Amino acid sequence: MSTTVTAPPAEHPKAKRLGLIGWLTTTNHKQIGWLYLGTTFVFFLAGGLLALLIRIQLSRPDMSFLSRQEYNQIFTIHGTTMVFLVIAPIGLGLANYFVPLQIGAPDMAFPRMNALGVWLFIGGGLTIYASFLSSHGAASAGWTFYAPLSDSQFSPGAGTDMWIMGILCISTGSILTAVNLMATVFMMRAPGMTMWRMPLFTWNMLITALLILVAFPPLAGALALLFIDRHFGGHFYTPAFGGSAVLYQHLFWFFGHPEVYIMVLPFFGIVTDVIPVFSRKPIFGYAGFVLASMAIAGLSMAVWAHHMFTTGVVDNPFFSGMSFLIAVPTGIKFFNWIGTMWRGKLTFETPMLWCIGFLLNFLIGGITGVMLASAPIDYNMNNTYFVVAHMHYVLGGGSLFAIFAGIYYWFPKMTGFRLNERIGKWGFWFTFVGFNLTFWPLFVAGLRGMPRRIQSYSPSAGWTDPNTLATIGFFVLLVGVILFAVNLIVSIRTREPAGDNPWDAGTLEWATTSPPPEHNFTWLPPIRSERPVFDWNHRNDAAAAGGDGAREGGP
Amino acid sequence: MPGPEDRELVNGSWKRRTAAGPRRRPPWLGAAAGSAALLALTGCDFGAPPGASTQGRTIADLYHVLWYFAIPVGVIVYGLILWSIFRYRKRRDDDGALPKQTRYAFGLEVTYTVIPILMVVAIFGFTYRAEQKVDRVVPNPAVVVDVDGFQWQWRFTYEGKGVTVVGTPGNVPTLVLPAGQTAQIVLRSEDVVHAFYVSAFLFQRQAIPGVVNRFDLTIPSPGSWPGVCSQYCGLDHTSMDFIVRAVPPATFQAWLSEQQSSQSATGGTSS
Repeated sequence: MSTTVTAPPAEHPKAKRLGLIGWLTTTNHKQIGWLYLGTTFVFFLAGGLLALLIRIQLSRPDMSFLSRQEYNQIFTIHGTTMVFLVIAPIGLGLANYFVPLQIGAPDMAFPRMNALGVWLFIGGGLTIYASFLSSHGAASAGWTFYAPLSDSQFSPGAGTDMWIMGILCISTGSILTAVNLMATVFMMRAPGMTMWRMPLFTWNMLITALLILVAFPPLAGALALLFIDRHFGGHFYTPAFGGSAVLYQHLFWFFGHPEVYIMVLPFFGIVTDVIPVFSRKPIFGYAGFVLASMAIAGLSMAVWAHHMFTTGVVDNPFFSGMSFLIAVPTGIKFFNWIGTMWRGKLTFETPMLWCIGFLLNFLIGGITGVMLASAPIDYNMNNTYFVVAHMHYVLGGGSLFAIFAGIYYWFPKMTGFRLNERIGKWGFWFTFVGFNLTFWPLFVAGLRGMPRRIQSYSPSAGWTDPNTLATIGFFVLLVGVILFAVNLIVSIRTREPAGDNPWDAGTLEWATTSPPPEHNFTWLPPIRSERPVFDWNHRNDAAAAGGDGAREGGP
Repeated sequence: MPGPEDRELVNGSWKRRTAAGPRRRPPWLGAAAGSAALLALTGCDFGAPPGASTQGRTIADLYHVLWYFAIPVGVIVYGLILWSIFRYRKRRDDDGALPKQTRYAFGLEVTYTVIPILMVVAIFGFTYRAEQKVDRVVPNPAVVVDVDGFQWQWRFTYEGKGVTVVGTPGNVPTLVLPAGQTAQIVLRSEDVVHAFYVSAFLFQRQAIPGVVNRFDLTIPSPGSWPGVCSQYCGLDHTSMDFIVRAVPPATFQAWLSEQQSSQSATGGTSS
């Protein structure tokens, strides 16, 4: 691999097809990326099915579609699925596939450790789902698994233990993958790919990996203590024997809040790679964006107790102040995105549509997040449907929309053919309208005092209309998701060739063939900015380097 | 200076595109629309209850203040996003040239960092003041009630009065308090974490085993409001309801003595 070659070779070696044994034993980063994406998609459908059951149960007052026991298990596993088995691992899957490609590396630094990571994740997920078959059914302590509720006295049964073991597998896998990503980014960049020329998805994945290293060990520790409490009389969380129930909340949220950023930073990165391509401009404020990501990561470790404002035992003003501050770097990112679109020439292919959906939804999640960061407001909103709506706007309207943007954007690179634009646009509109119709009414339900995790409500509570509307919205959203599945099937059958760089994108993954060969590159363009492929393709266009000049190096 | 993409060649001379509006309008428009909305919404309660307790009213006021920050920010950012989408979309008659490849605008970047920091400082000030008021516990409350949460009921014990109210399945317990006086709640849990939440007071506090939480409730006028357990606590979390009823102080005293005699006679509790 050399940057002195002046033109790409005409023929690239093709990726070879894998059989079952091949898929089970692969250590190639792209195939591991596919394993993550395929598995998370199945878990996404499962988590969505659980959400459907929840929405049916809550559609009208006093419903008895699900028993309380069933309902408690279902919302517990719905939350667990979406957090641990869908949104966080999709980031790892896309990172597996695209971080090496974006920095010009042939693979991840530790391929076998990489395979161990994905199989720990898949095994953990299957363990959690298998717990539905255990004697007491699946875990039903809520995805936050607060002790002492999750202790053996209040949650007997193997399902709860299987949940703990599943999450321990997943956190071990995540930690391994995070180490691997950091080693890859630090050690395996192509010549010319300095840190300050890395694509922003790679930058955000690097910062996410750091957060995983900080956040997951406390979670694993908290759950290990819980397991000791459950089986070996540990009493870490039982006050009657000198333990502390608040300790669990501290440990869990010291994981839980960085986890929120583990579930959004990768997708901020996707949006930041996609918007410049469809605006025909470089990202506006590259260095500011990276510094903002770092600021978010730093602050995210000092805000965990904003989940504990109502415990009465934490320093609320400190955690309020730190949480408010996160709005500043997040705001910077909004201005990066707007500044990139400003005076550009925007086109609205499906990846860009999803990005705009992301911007519009995530803003609502962000603004309501600032409100919830205010402790007295949280005295009212905590554990109500206002919080439920807020976090779904962040993780669903934000992260999931960005994930769809990334899938539509990168699908041609991963397969060599495009997803159907027409079905994609229909899918977007159904998802966008359905999403807002589902979750906007839940803000209203929350303001009217509806607590979360209740199995039914009385008709006199005033929560009927928002809930019925949300259920209708969910069915519209469901059409959008089904259209995505239809699109996959139709596009895989049609196989409309995409070419190597269908979007005229600028980052390094677009320099190789679609799909890339086993070790990614036989040729690299010279890397002189954060979008070397764009520079190469527009090397004879004075306007490409124009404006106020491509800035090299860091801030 | 308008860029070349704003102009077109008409009859041999450059003309400004008619479709293009004045450059500085969007943030301006956003701010104007924001202020208009602000004025229109000053009387609005933004969906939250007005606050039936003194502490709750403080929270409701803070909630309104936060909206006065949120609405202009939301309108401006939405305005900028939508403006970019509609104004800067690629036109049908596009010449295929690249737009100006702007990467940095240092002054602008500093501005959009500093202004949010100032806003955050202001919001923090309002939050801090409100929280001091809400969290204050007076040294001499009119009545002190021990509230104990347990799976899946509440027990209200009036300190020094020998009166206990406990809920049973199908019988929602009522927390009777004197209106116009300050009642102090001492909150505990006997098993798992629960939370005492009255939406009308815009207030909740967790009941945590091993922790004693104190807070004051000052309810200016008589009334009756539903309360729930808002922290998921297991199988029957859904039905851990209670009622708070505020009555005039004289009625409260009468109710207390009536309960005292009936409870000492039966040795039991009521609900």
